[in-house]
Amino acid sequence: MFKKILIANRGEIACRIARTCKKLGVEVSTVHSSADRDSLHVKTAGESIEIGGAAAADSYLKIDAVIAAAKATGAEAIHPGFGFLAENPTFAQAVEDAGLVFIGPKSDTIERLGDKASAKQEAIKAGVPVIPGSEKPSAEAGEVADIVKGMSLPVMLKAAAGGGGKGMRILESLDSLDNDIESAMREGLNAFGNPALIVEKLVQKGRHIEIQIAGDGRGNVVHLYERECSLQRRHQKVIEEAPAANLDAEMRDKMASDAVRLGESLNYRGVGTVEFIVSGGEYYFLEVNPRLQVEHPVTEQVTGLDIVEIQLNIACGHGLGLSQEDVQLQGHSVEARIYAEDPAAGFLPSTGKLSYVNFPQNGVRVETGVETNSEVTPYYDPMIAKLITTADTRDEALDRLSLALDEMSVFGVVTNRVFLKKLLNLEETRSSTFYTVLIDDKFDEWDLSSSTRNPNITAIASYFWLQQQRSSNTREPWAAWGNTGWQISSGGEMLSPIPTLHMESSAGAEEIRFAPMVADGTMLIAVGEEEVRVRLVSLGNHKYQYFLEDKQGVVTLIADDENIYAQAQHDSYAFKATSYLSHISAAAEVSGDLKAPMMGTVLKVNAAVGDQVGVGDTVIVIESMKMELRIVSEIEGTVTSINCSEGETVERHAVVAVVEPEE
Amino acid sequence: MDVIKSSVNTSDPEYQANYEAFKQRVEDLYARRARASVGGSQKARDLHKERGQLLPRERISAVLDPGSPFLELMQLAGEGMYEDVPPSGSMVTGVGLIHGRPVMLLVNDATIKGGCYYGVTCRKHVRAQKFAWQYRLPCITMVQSGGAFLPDMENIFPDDGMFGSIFYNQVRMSAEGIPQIAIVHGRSTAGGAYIPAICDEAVIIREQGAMYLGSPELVYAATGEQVDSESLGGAQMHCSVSGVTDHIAENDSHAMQATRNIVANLGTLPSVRWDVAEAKEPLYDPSEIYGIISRDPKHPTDMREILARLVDGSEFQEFKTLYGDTLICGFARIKGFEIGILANNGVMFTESATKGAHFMELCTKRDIPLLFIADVNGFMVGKEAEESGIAAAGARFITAMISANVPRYTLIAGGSYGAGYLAMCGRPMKPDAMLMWPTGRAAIMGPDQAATTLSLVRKAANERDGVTWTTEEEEAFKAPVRKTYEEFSDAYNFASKTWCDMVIEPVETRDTLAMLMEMAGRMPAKRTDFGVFRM
Repeated sequence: MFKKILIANRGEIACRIARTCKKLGVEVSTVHSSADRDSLHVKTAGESIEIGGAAAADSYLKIDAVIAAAKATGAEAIHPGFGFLAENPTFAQAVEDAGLVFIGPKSDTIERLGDKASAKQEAIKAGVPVIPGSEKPSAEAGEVADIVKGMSLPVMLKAAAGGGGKGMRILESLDSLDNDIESAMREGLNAFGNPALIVEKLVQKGRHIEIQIAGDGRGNVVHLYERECSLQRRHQKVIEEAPAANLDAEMRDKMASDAVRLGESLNYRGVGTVEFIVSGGEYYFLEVNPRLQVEHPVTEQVTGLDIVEIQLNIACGHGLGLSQEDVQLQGHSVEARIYAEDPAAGFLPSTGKLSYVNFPQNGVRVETGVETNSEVTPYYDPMIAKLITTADTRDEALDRLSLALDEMSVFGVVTNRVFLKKLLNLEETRSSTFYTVLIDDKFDEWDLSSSTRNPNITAIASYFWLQQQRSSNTREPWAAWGNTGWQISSGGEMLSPIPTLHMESSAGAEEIRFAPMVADGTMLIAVGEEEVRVRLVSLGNHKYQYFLEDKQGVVTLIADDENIYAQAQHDSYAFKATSYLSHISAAAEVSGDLKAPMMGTVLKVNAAVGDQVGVGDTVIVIESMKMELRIVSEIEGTVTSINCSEGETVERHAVVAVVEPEE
Repeated sequence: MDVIKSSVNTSDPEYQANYEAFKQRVEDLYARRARASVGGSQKARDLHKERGQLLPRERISAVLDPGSPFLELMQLAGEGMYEDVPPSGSMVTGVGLIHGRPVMLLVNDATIKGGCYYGVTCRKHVRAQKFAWQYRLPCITMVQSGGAFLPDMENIFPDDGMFGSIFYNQVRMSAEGIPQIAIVHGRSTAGGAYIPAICDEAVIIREQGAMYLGSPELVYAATGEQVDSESLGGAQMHCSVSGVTDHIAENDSHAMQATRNIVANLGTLPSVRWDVAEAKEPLYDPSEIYGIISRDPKHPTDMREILARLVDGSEFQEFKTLYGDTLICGFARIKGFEIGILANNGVMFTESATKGAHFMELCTKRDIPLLFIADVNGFMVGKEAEESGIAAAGARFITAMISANVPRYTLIAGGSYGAGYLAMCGRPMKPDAMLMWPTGRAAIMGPDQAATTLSLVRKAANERDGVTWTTEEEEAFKAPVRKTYEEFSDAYNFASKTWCDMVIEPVETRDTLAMLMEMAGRMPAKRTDFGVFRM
């Protein structure tokens, strides 16, 4: 076994790899970008080399810097994790050339599988069924368009070098063909450095089933059974499980042996995943991911194997260390990916400081790369954690995961927690009748915004806010919490004559008025026109028992600057608490200032000073978190200022352009 | 510490009758406060709001820290005076927190006769300034006043303690480094313009606040110059041209924010100079005081039972229990603050007065605040008393009480008459705060004593004139005297005239005293030099 390896990755996967290394007595070092100095993976590894700037291209994708870091820290091998350099054959080769071991497939295997078209050729060679479509990738828009026109719709455009949904387009009509080809190529170019596309028949309502394989590079390949990853949003897996339920056993065996056969034909070294799409009675080869997968934990949970350990064993020459008979399934495991993104706002990535992070400890496997006070930056993938539950039955595993989502708290960014809960409890999920575009088909019907007014939780959060303003020291009666709002009373619970506080949430802004606290700590609070009586009792660890007139319960509350986060079971709320006075002053502001919704790089400036723009016109396009964001004018008028240029990085809320309304 | 063991039986009919009687007084108090806090007429208030302005209590709510207590002073000033026109004396005064610092707010109420200064308004403003002065509280004056209420000139203009003293106090406080801040909410003319002009920092509101020595009308009459209010003395002019005001605000709320910002930069708030203990509730519910205070002045109230419901843990370390027992003296804590209490439990005898003077000396040496709980008909009279030297003992008591340079608080719980009123730190003795319960009464003598004394004088005259009085005639003479004294001695008469700072009810007393003492504790200790003690 290696004495020491370098993990060339970040986030939860770097932490997870380090865990197995520590278990095996292998020392680890890692690398980080300037934006990740304080991140959890750096602390977990204990030794890390800063290899460059925040953008992945300046750090995690810098081959020379990563290899130099491995040399500098005395690592014998490099584990690339997933993403970044994991499927880069040049990197794999460079590692080997540097006299280090690449923990993954051989460079030429990666190369043969890295391109979707050549992977398809490998599959065909091994006798694995493939989807009908273009035979080779093309970077010529006209050529791609011709291929599309020659096929029956719907078809799919895919970046040849792609993965993770980037550079993919489904074409159901030819109306916007040229545009779609252009933008798929641009995304492919931006994400993978290669604009080439392939065209495929779109398999409708297919399920995504993948087979985990492991090969020793000497012709021995085993499979670790399948995972189902049919719950996807725009080709991005969201919930994964092992094994697949409601799947024909014979088909599953055929897929498994196809995967093994493909591995054998490639003389596969390392672990990998052979992905299939299943539709009706058919299944087709999609691609091979020659690396560790995000969703590998569910396979580990049902096989009892440590896939990272298998990787290390293979890489250090110990071989597989297991035969096919050793791989036995027990129970059912489900994984949910926690993303820092806002489902109610079109899954816009959410960045910022995490005021509080708490995951359930019991009975849930948690893979995370963040902790309280971590920063979610726009530079990398917004996945911050994975929760994995395992049980004897699938329903039980789903139930446990659903409960775990209630129990977790991530405050400071918006997460997809509620969205995941919704997915877990869908009828289609429970009956395994889901398919890969189910979410995309149905999402519009779901109300995921927490935009329902909730005066009770608003009152609870307001009470908590007020408590933060007052002192717990009884020796100073003016400031003491017990004298909050004290005045010579007229005998009743007098609400303050004007609001004290503005509580802003996705449900809108509420004006809050407080009455003096009464002896037992109860306070009458007006949320707009509604009056709520509240009392909170601290239970420690940010948990409070709340007492309302007709019910009580437990709520997690965190205050961070002017933000108040509250989570009561299913629902989480983020409030921005501002004093009534500051709100009054802010209300006076009217402007045509166009602000960057988040930090990012300017892709395109569509207007020049003096141009007329209308409501909804895109003035600036920025790229952030690998997404294109359009900054549109909310007023009609003339552009009087453009404060950025293409390629420039702009800060969140920076005024990138100014539109003056018509007089 | 010794603990007072209560022997009150709450199911006793006497207790319950007292309780009910006091409860009604408390409800009456609440009703009076509610009336006083409304401000001007509905029409005036609506008009004020239509102009986009906040009402005085809204300004206070906006400017204070969220959840801040508000210790309102002289809320019932002017009640029943001037045909009941100026509720609260046409201004609101009190202490609250801004950025954690106690400040005095002096807020004109323009919905009452345009915020005019009546005689009582002047008294209230000046007293609030003096209260602020003693605790070095920054003064925030929210100016919106039409000036003097001319028919009341004799109570506004000529003397010390009237309108002009407002300027005097502002300047002297400013000289002592006590911040003076003003917000100009409305047109402030002539004398009114000086209140903000004399301040350390002034905020003025655009198109609402204005300051000039002569109004546009007066200017036209005097010189023929035609000028509008905004150009003559508006916010823009004073902030950008004359420099008379320092901060411009767009509206009331913005002005409150500007005021908060000023207070945020007043330097360090001194810490409390005493060791304050963790607050403990009394063993007995303070609301039981309702049932303990005698509803009939002829029946005495057991003061120890009251103390058991006022002090922390009902713990009271009594001093000289067996000597001069008509004055209870002892150490206790109220909400953690150590305090020396002198409470009447009968008339003052020579021994009581001597003991009280001794006890006050102890408190001054130890820098412990004093609380006088008054329920006294006066000093004992008669041959025995005089022979025992009650005049000298009383003089020692009064000398100690006046000389004591520790915080002094007076609470008139029952009757407080004659020299007793003065000795128990009555208003002329300048207590830090003068508090009355609704049952509190004070006068030169009690209504019955007054009626009897005056009828004896008349009887003597009658006898000289050879006139005889029937019992009915005597009673007809006595009744109006009694009524006059009753009305005079009433706590609400004292409140209306601003002879006391607050009428509070027993349940509010502990919090009130604790907040007063916290402010006092933020002052440096002062040495006491006693006047000559006549031995």
